Amino acid sequence: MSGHDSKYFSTTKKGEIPELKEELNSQYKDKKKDAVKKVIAAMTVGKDVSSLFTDVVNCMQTENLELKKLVYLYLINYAKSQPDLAILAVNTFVKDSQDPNPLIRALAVRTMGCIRVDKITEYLCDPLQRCLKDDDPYVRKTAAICVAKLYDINAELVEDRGFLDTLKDLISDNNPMVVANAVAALAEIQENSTRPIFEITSHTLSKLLTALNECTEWGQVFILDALSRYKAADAREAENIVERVTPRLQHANCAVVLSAVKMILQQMELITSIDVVRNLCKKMAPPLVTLLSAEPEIQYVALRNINLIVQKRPTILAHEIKVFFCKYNDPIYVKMEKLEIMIKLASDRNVDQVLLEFKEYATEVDVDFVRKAVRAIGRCAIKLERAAERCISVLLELIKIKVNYVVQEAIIVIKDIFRRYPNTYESIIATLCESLDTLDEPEAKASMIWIIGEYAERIDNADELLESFLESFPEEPAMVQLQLLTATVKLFLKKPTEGPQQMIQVVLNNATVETDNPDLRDRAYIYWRLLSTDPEAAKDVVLAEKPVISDDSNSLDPSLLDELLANIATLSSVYHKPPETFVSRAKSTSTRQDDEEYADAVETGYSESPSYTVENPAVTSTSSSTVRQTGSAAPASSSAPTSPPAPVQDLLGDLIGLDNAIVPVDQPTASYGPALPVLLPSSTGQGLQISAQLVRRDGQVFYSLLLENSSQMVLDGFMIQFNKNTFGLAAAGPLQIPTLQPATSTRTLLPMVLFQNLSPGPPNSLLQVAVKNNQQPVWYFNDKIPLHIFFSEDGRMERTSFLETWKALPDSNEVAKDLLVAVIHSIDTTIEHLATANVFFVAKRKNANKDILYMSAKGPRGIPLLIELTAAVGVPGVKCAVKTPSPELAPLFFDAMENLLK
Amino acid sequence: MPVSASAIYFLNLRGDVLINRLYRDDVGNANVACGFKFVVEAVALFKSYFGGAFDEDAIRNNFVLIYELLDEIMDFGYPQNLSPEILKLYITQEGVRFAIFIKGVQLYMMLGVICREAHSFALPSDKPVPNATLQVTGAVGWRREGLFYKKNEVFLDIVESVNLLMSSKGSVLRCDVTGKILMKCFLSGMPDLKLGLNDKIGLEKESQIKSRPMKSGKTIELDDVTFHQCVNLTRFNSEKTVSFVPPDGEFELMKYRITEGVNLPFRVLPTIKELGRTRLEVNVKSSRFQFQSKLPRQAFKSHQVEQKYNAAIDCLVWKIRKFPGQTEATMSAEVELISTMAEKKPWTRPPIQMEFQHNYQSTEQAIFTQHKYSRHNGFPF
Amino acid sequence: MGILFTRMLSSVFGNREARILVLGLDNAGKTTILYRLHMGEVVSTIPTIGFNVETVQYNNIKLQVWDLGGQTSIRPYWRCYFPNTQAIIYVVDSSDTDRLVTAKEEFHAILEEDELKGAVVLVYANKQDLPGALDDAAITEALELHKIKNRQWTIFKTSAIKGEGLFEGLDWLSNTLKA
Repeated sequence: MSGHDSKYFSTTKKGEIPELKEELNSQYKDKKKDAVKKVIAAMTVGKDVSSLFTDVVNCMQTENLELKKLVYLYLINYAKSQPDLAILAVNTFVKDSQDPNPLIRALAVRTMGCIRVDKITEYLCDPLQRCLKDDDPYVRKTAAICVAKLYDINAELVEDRGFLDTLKDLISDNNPMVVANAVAALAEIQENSTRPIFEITSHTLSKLLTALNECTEWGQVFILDALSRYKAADAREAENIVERVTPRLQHANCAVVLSAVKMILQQMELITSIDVVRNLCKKMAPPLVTLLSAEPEIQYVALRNINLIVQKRPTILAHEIKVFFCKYNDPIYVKMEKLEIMIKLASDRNVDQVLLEFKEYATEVDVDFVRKAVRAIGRCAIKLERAAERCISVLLELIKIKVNYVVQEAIIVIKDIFRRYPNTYESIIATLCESLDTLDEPEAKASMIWIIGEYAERIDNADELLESFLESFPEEPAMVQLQLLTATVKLFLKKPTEGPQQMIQVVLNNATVETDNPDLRDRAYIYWRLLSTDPEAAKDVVLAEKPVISDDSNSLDPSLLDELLANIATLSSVYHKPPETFVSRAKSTSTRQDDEEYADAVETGYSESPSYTVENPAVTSTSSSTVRQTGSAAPASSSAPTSPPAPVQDLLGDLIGLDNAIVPVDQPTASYGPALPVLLPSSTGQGLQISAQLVRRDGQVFYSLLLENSSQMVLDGFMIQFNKNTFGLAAAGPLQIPTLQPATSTRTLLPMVLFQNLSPGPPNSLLQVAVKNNQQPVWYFNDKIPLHIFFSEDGRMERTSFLETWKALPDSNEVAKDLLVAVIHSIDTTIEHLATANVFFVAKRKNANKDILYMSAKGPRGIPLLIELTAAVGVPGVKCAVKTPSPELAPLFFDAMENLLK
Repeated sequence: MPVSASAIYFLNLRGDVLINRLYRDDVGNANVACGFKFVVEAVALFKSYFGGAFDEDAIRNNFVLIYELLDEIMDFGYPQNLSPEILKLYITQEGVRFAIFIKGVQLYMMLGVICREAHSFALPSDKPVPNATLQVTGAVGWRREGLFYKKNEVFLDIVESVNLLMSSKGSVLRCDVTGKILMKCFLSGMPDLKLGLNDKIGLEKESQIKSRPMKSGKTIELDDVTFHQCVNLTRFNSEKTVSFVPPDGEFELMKYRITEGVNLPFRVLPTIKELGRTRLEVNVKSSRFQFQSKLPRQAFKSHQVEQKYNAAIDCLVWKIRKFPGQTEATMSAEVELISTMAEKKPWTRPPIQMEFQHNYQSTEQAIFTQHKYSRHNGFPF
Repeated sequence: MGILFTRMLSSVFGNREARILVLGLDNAGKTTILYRLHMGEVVSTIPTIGFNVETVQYNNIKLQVWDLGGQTSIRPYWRCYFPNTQAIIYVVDSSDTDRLVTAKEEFHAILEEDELKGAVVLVYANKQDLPGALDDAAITEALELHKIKNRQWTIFKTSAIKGEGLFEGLDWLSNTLKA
């Protein structure tokens, strides 16, 4: 019995399996049960007991719930290794799913869903159907999750059997746990599908927010996470949502708090009232601080997230820096993260206190932590100009303690400080030189040598100092060799006396003839050539003024930051990488082909999103590469292009791809063909001109944009928003526009999604767009939605089904209009031309001198459009009739046809 | 996606897998906050089932039960109900023992503990309760129905931990208090409890941000409060009363944090001299408390009678039974260290830890004014 | 009285246990027969994908009756159940004359099995209530029962729906097993 299970682990001598087999077939229930326990114990320690499959399965029909659960557990583990025999379990599963005991009913569907074997899945549907409508909420909540399991095994089956609708019905269930699990299942299915399945309308939103109060803590997390995808229509709705979510911040469960924070931050984007935003920031601070008294692992998650939050909204925790001070017994990983946040929150107001802390940390015992503390002081100096002097004096104090690694780290950061504030703090060089002998780490050495070379004219014995390094030149690591080479050249250019001249001979010889390192050799030859041809030019090159650096080494790109913030509490927010860079799970390839292509594009994320940067942003910063660049480089190269791109495009993509990983490998070529209509003239946009148009490419709707900056300003931080519209068109992701230098332009293709924020009322083609950037006011402009961008590639109809559909629709569904501007020059070219817009030819006939064409198209939501065009070839004026279940679309349809037939 | 795990593994200190349960394939961008919290709660659940112990033996001895629980508390990576109270209704195993566990979080100082009374629990019967499934999924997923006590009792414990950093001269550099209100309920039926917070408690409301009243010495500013899942948060937000249907037995009702206006009941002044490589002289002047000071690992022996060296925790422990106000106590000790050939590691100067009980402390007294208890359907009170 | 003692006594009084397989093509009526024997009533059934197992107490014999699914896809797994089997109840749908040949082939294939050498065979010519059902003699002919050698066997006309013939068969079975 329980409490003494360890006896089942004791191994019997030889012949364990036959012995177990015999016991499993025993007539005595107790013996049988013990045997199953032994089998599970063997499984637990990793022995292969799959050969007992039928014997264990034969124990399945039992009254004893504990035994039944063990057999089920066995099945979960071994059904895969015995896929054929698994069928023997089906009958019992099906029976159990109709057992009078709800625990058994739920157990049966729960377990069946865990067994990824076709023979079991085949028989899961009927029990699942029943259990989704079971009287007992426990069974329903289990069945809800089971739909997600089934979707993961076989998405088509879920759709064909209508489980999605049943699942959606469960959102209105009267039991909160059923609701929460249904939401979790739907959210997961949506995440793995490219079609809109789980659309959160304002109605569902409100219902789910109400359900929050009754849900278990986990249920609240499911619901909040699902709702965080919701985009409020306006500031008022956003405020409303936030107000209802705020009480969750007081929950003892950290996951509830973080999910609430995520949702509030998302909605805050829309809130315009400064007071409301300030208030929310005030409210969020205490709960975030409280997370720091949780278990260390949770603290770590919280700190990584806080790191993101303070980058976006520094005010939230501006006054709370004290809570990030390290405690004696914090684990090292927590201390390291706290340091990072302290640097972010350091300001002129608190810097004295912060420096005191850093200094304290720099005398602790953990070497990594001490180094980071020293580095932190340096970063403070670079960040806060007014505090730089104090930072330096702390660094000097630390150097005086003469702890080797502290000194080395200090010298590294002082080099950066010199680069940030040139010609300001050189007086301390003498102190630094005292520690010369203790340097044994390459980076520290290299930094010190750089300092000596850079300030050679102010250091009396610069030549002696450098010379002392030269002796060991061949043994030094490459980093030090390169610095020695450059420093010696600088010295020579500044003090062209005999000593340096000799030194430079030695160095150049060492760096060319004696080395195998091509970088070193190349640099040495360049110097050599420069010095021998034109020493003045060499001066201009080598002693040129260097750009001032800034401390952005640990801050993220704004669009990446936004993406990470939308992923608060998840792995993505802990890694500080977008999910696509570490999630490799393929999206379910739905039956529709257009979906598939879109799925490819979305799955690999950034690198694939068809945004296109023409210009190459010039960057001066100390950060070598951002997380995203390293992160998304891999998927970009491994993904197969959806359509074979033109060779030129490919080359261009490769070239630019070297510098900028957000450039996709495959560019939809045609999108840059025709000129885009100007929607925001530069006269209105203070120098910013926007041209744009909705286009359809490879079964997907994009907003093709051209932005031209003729202002004097550098524009960055571009964002786009679409107002509610008839088709609920909205951006599928953030606008990928780099910093726009004056007199440059950029093009991008923004993927769009449908049915997000639907505007009520009769259909119209109005699309209201707002674009903002960090420098200018928000620009609003109007665009038109041409209906034909929705015409899908699978709109072709066979004659018979065309006829049947035509007959099935009442005559009142037919609308006709004379398109006066339209003209058909040739039947064949027109058919061909219309086919490119996904209007497909079905049949034609002649009536007197007129040609009558029958065509089909499939509109949004798969609405069929049956078309009859009547015209005389070459004569302007086409009579267009359309029959469709949605005749209200007719006006938009006629506009589209007129456009296409122009 | 709120999925929090693809599998749960139980590892021992050597890293061997003792038990695992695979729920699904890789979960991609999992909700890690949810995952960690789940693990914390799951450990609490197992402890509650095993009578407090959660080690390799306990795991081996209960593997069938563990598998059963793992199947119940998580489905396809989504946490389900983890409430021990409810699970024990239908996952019943022999040898289940209850134990009250108060996790030994490392505290710098403990303030005020009241009403510590031992109480025996009624063990649930072994038969699964017929409507268990309704209770698992019910709105009150942490309390079972049909509880009955002859004597209805509620106990409140307040455990505060003060984190204090003092300069060598005795001035307070940093001080904050984390408090927990632990509640022990032995009530019949489904009681609705209400706990009123004192007017003196300042919880920053929007209106107060600008016109915060001057600190009058009596006001206690709570920086933040968090509540157990049984508390209706929306109601707290609107009415500022803590209303809840409590779980049966002991639970942590709320947590709070105070950073301003903390009065310290004690003052501790340690002086530690390192005498050469192998000796330490410790002098502590102070006021009733239990005192622990972490010593370097090499320490092995101490003189003096009032205090003892506890080798298990590398600490010098000093116990004082009673400590009247306005008095002072001094302890001095000399510690000999084992001389090692290796270079002496710098001492990390760990904090001094104090623990004490206090029956009357200003903070907690100020917190509660009302304590309402309404009954449901006719159970004798 | 301890468990061990009970067992000894029961063996003295002939209370034995036997393992019995109910086999036959799909839709022969195996599951209906099992539950008719087990509960004495007709339950509605669905095709058995896998197995059912019940204990039937009859004439001092405790029969552990395994009803195995008869579909083509499941027949290959019958062999998993052969070891330690004392008796086979082979059920034939007497009205399904088209598939009698298949029924015969499956039947003789079973009899070839080494593991079933010692098992006695009881054939139920089931569904006698249906019009056009063949009688026991015709089924004996169709299944070529006379070819059986070195094995005790018999055949009964049954109707699981009406409950006719089943217990006569069990009488034969219990007597044969006791002997």
